[in-house]
Parts: sequence; C-alpha cells; structure tokens
Amino acid sequence: MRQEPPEHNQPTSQNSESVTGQALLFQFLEDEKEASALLGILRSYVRNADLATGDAVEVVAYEVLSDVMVEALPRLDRFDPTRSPRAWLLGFAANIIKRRKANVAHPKREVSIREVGDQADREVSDDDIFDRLAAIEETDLSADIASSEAAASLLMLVAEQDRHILRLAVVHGLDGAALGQVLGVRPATARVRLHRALERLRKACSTTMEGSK
Amino acid sequence: MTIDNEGRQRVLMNEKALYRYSSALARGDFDTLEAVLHAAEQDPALEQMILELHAEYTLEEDTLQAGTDVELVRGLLREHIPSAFAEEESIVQPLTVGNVVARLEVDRKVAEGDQQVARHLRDSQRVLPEIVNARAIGALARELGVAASDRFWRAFRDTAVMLGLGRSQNEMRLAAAREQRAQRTQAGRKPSQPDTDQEVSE
Repeated sequence: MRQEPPEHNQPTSQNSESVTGQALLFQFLEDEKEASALLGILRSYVRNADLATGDAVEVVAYEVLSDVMVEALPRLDRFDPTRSPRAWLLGFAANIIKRRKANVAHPKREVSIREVGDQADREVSDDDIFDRLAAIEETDLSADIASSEAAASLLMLVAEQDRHILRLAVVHGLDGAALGQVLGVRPATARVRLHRALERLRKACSTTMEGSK
Repeated sequence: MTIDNEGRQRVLMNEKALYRYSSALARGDFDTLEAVLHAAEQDPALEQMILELHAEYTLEEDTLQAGTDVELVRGLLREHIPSAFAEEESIVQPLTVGNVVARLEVDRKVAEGDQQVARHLRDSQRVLPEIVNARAIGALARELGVAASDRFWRAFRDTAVMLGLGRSQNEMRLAAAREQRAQRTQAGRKPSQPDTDQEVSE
C-alpha cells in the first residue's frame, strides 16, 4: 500500500515542479533511445560548429552533454514538466557550443577571404527564399506553376531535379509531410531534399543579385 | 482567417523554422539554432520535426559510413593481401596465345604430336585477335610460324572463344563493382552541406 508523505514534507509548488522536472529529466536521459538521439544531435552540433573532427567529436559531444546537465539542473524550475525536455536541453547545448566557439575563435582578427565570400553568398537570406516560394503558393496555388512568370524565372535558376522538387513543394504548400507522401518517402527525407534544393536556389539568387550590381 | 487557413499557416511557419534551423546548422550559426529551439520548446510539432531531421541526417551518415567502411577494408586488404586482388588485375589484361595454350594443357586437350608446339607457344605474349574465327586463327598460325594439327587449332579456337566469353562477363562484373565504388566514394561527404550532397535515400 502506498504511504502518504508526512505533511511537513509536502513540497512547495515551485519545489514540486522542480522535483517533477528533475524526475522527468532523469527518466528522459535514462531512456536509451532518447539519450542516443540526444547524443547524435550533439555530435552533429559539434561537427557543424567545427569544434572537433573524427573520434574527438564523440568526446566533445559528451563534454557538451555534461555541461548541459550542469547548466540545466539549477534551472529546472523554468522547465515545463508537461513538455518533453528535448528542445529545452538542446537550447542549452546550442548556447554552450556558441560559447565554446567564441572561446576558440581569435577575439580580434581580420576578416578572411572565405568570410567575405560567405557574406556575398548571403545576399538572399533563408527567410527570403522561403517567403518567395511561399508567395508563389499564395497567389498561384491552383494554377500551373510554370505559367507564372515570376515562379518560372525563379525556378529557372536551378537544375531540373531541384526545379521538380521545388515545384512539388510549392503545389503542396511547402508541407514536408505532403511532399513526402507525393515522393513516397518519409517526411524528414522529403524535407532534407527540399532544404538542399532551397539552399541551391538561395545561392543562385544571391549570385544573380551580386552579378547584377 | 479560417481554421484551415490557420492550420496551413502554422505548418508553413514550422516548415520555414525547420529550414532556418537546418541551414543554420550547416553553416554553424548557433544563434539562429538556439532561437528555433526556443520556439520548439513551446511547439511539440516543430520539436518533432527537428528530431526527425536529425534522425534523417544520422541515417545518411550511417549509410555513407557503411560505404566508407567497406572501402577502408578493401583498401587494407589490397595493402596487406595483394594476391587476393591479383586475379582481378590479371583479368583486365588482354588474352594471349600463351593463356589459351596453358588452358589447353590444363584441360589435356593437346595431342601428343602437338605437345612440342604447345610448349613453344606456352609463353607467347601475342595478343589474340578480337574476332576469333577460322580465318583469324589461320592467319595467327602463319604469323607464329608453327606447324600444328588442324585438331590443335580447332581446340585452340574453341578455348579462345570460351576464355574470351568468361573474361567479358568478369569485366562486366568488375566494371559494375568499380562503378558502385566510385558512386560510394562520391557520396561520402558531410550530409549537412546542402550544395555538395548526394541524395542517398532515393
């Protein structure tokens, strides 16, 4: 039979939330599948932040996870226990990696040629290119995309394979799940393909804009 | 705004946030990454989309890694056990008179009266003509300046055709294997660099 705890041990509302949050966090991290997925994402962060390469990626990912624990535990009162802690923990991880990157980077240095190139490459932002496609979808939803001059000239900037996926995405409201269904692949697979096509389109737009200056 | 339109706008916002996230990840922009994650804390659908995206990247990496591992093992085998690949290398060499005669001897198809000729031709590096018909074999015999029985030359022609056929099939298999290896090597790149990646899960 379950015993009720003594009255004087009843936690306050905030403590109760912290305890529940802590229990949830431990439960989350003890789940092999969740922990493995979390570490996989951290490895991806570490690699893309250029904090480590090869076997060292695993080591740095563990270090970041350890730092996440250190920073997250005292702030459990801010965590909503009705929610999964994934995005919350990843937010800490992103912040930790950002700081590590800043520590690794030289504080005062000249801008490299590569960075100048990167800046030119970002004449068109991710949001810009996404909005341009979304705008086509709003004004031209039921019409043949190729018949829209603006859409056609935008899509002509990329190769046929990208054009095909972007056209499909526009017709399906840029919804990855719907796109996945049409392509017969998982929504995430469809999104990865769409993002790559979008990235190539964004770069092509940036180059065109840079060239017309 | 109707409920359907609201739903559509929410999907569109999440898809846009996810694209912003994947693009930021590829260029190591952790400010943007953090902002999207902050939004995902309040939005289970967006959070799920982020997790699925990473699962997809992991799957791609595993697929590419498997290809790289196979190449690595093959490289080590080539380095440490070159004899394991000797047959593969020799197969791409053109078929010679010596190859055919050696096979005739192994198959015991050389009559006693032709054995001296066979010994003479065993080391010949003369490459066989592309078309191995009676006329080509006759011309070859004249060129080699050896006298053998008609039976020997008939057996020589049949064996040459048989070896040539087997070699063509092997070459086709090897060419296919080389093509596969080349594709795997070409695909073995960082999955989160959008402009260079191959679609591995077509």
